[in-house]
Amino acid sequence: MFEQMSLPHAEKTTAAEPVALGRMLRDTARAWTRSFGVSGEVAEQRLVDQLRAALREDVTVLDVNSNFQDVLDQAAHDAIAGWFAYVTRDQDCHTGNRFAMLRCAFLSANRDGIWNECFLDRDGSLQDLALALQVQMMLPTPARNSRVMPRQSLERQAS
Amino acid sequence: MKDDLKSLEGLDPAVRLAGPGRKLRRFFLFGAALVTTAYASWMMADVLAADQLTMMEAVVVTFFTINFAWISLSFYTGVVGVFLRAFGLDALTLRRLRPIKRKGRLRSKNVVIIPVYNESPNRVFAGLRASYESLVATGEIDAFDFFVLSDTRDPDIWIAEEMAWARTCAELNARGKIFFRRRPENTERKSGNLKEFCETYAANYDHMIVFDADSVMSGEAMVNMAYMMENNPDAGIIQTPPQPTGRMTLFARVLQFISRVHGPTMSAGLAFWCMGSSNYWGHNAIIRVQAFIDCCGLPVLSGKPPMGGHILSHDFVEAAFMRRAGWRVWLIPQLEGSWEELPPNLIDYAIRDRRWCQGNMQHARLIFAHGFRPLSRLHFFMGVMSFVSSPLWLLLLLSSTVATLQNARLTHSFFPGQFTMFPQWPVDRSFEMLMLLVFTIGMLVVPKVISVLMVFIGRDRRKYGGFAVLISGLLEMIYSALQAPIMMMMHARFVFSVLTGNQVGWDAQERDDTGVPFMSALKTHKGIIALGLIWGAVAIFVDQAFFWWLSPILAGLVFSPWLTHWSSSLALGKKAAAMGLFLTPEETATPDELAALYRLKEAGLGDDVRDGLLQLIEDPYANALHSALLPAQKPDRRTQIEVGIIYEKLARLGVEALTREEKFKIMSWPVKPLDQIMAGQNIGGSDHPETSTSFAPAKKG
Repeated sequence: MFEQMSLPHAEKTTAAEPVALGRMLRDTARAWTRSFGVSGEVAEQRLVDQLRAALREDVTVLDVNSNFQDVLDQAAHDAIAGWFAYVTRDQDCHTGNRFAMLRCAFLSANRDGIWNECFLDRDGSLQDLALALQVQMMLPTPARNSRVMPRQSLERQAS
Repeated sequence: MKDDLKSLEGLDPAVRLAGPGRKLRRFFLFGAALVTTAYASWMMADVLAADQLTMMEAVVVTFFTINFAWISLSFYTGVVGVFLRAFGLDALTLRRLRPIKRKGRLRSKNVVIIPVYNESPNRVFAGLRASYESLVATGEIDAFDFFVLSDTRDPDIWIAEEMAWARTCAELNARGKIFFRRRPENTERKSGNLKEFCETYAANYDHMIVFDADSVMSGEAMVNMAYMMENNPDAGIIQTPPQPTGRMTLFARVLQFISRVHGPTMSAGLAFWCMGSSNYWGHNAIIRVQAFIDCCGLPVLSGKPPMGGHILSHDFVEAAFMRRAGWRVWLIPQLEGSWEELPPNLIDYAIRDRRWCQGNMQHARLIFAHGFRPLSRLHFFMGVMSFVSSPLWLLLLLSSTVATLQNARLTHSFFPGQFTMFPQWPVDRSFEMLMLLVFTIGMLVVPKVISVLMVFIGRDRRKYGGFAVLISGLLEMIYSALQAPIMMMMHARFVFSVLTGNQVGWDAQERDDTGVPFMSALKTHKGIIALGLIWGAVAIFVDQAFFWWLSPILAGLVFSPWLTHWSSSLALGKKAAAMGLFLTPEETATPDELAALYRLKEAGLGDDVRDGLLQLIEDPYANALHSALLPAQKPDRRTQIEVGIIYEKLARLGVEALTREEKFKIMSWPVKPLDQIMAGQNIGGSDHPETSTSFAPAKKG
């Protein structure tokens, strides 16, 4: 139903924001923070704010065929990946596997909820979190070392 | 290859794999087998030809000769093995056996690879952990990595494997030591799985130790194998003799017992005459990686399966290619600390044999292929014969029946041929016949009997149940005599099935102590029972003495469902263990690795196989892990559309509505990143259900 929503009508201020849009932003933020094992209104509000900011920027490129939930999900993904890049000082946090590995590491590090308050925070020093992520980081496979394994022949080779 | 060999300087001569008189050993062993076969065949022909050799009797002699040659080679291998064990000699050097004492630390980089296909993750990772912990205890863990190579197609097992891997890494603090790789397409089955590994990651390592899903090895054994590879630069493969263990059904316990008692005898005998041309059994062996990559890429056989196409039983062929390229393949009987598991009952054992039969029958096409060494050809032939001997025995018995029937209907001619004054009296050769039977049975059981006696008089007698080892040995012989006709019939059917173009699928082996209900056994064996009854009736009709002659075989056939059902009993297996029967040292003095395996299996890793897709939706960690392990590639347009439709179905109808194939597809190719699917769900219950989607199964009613 949101595909048909005319986004330019979404105002810059929350006061003028349509109720449905506000609800959708909150639901998206809640789902994403939950999927990182984070519970707490502070982190959720940070994500809502970032989603709003992203929407303001993306408003012009949105056409009527776009799935609005997909746009919000992509914005949430980008916001969290950007925050991981800030924490780890590594810009390669947006790609699918890398992002998922960071998510694994964060879920493991945040098992006791100690990093809930820091989620998406860019003000304080997050060196301890960076270290915790490094310790918990997955390594499914080592570096590839490609070779070709030729099929053997059972025929007599011509000399 | 010789150019690649490192300098022999600095190598430890104590573990040098070599020995004297390689050709002489083979000459005498094969010579003895040949002479014995010739003598037995002559005896048979002499007995049957007493009243003129009929055509059918000539057929009997032919089948007898082929089968006896087979028995004879096995007998002399056993005799040599008995001799070596009795005097504590190394099968290769023929010097006194000494434990391996390593000089210094390992210099090589090794990887333990575990190819899995729809196996229980709990069992696979329990085995991995037991082996890993044992390696840590040796202080040589830095020289080893572990790789689980998953070919799993069951979506639920797939997720359980991923979770078990992550948990194992975390609990053993082994991130960067234990790796997990899943193949999206499982072409060429297990050999394709290994090939893909060889072409991607294997070159990071010098040697790879290949495990089966049910393998466990001690750290000491693995380090010794790597040490031997380092000090024998011409060795391509070193094979350990794995001991079957861990099953509790009566069937498995009987087999475990005799493998533990008699297996080392046969291994020693085989190693004695095979030397550096031994065989590779597909697991619990160490392989030189570069040599394997260079010369073990399997060809595709011309024609259609089952005799053509991709090679199924890859291990024998890989060993043959190694030998063809000049690398040596060694079987080292004294490398202990290598274990595997058996199928729990006769039916599962036969299912495994059916698969092996198809693979081994393909080898018939390789026996005369270009470039293989004579002993590699012999290994192929032995592999073929391990199944073809069954129909040959069956033909021998059937032709004997026909010959007896013919003789019974013939009236004896006292004046055959030309006119003569002297009649030709019928000759009674029943004594010679009996002697020949005793001779044949003796060849079959004598090495086994000596192995049992050696254990009985040995120092480790208590580990096998003390005096009970004799009773266990006797019961095993009775059991194997009754089981032999059943296996003969099954193998004969398998061979016929392969030759008529039928092929088998690829299923994981049963690895629990599963029993066979009586009705199920009856259904499986109904053909065998019918044959046994008809055969018995014909035998009585022909000649009562002949009936009694056949009775052990007929008993095995007619009582096959009872034998299958009772031998699969877990209760009987446990009762036998309580009575001290069929005990092995793995049970009475359990090694640390097996104790760890049983403990871990019992405890479970908390990664039971559940609905994988639901787990991905409900558990953020499972979801993130799965996303992290998926290959970084996008689906083609058609797949995108298919997955989009499945995703809609999932969103509207829930997880339960999806078929296994649909789940597999959506998990392989998420239409959007899985974390977004995760984000879109209704975990805690939304106030506004129209803005979120619940994938959990809909409540019924």
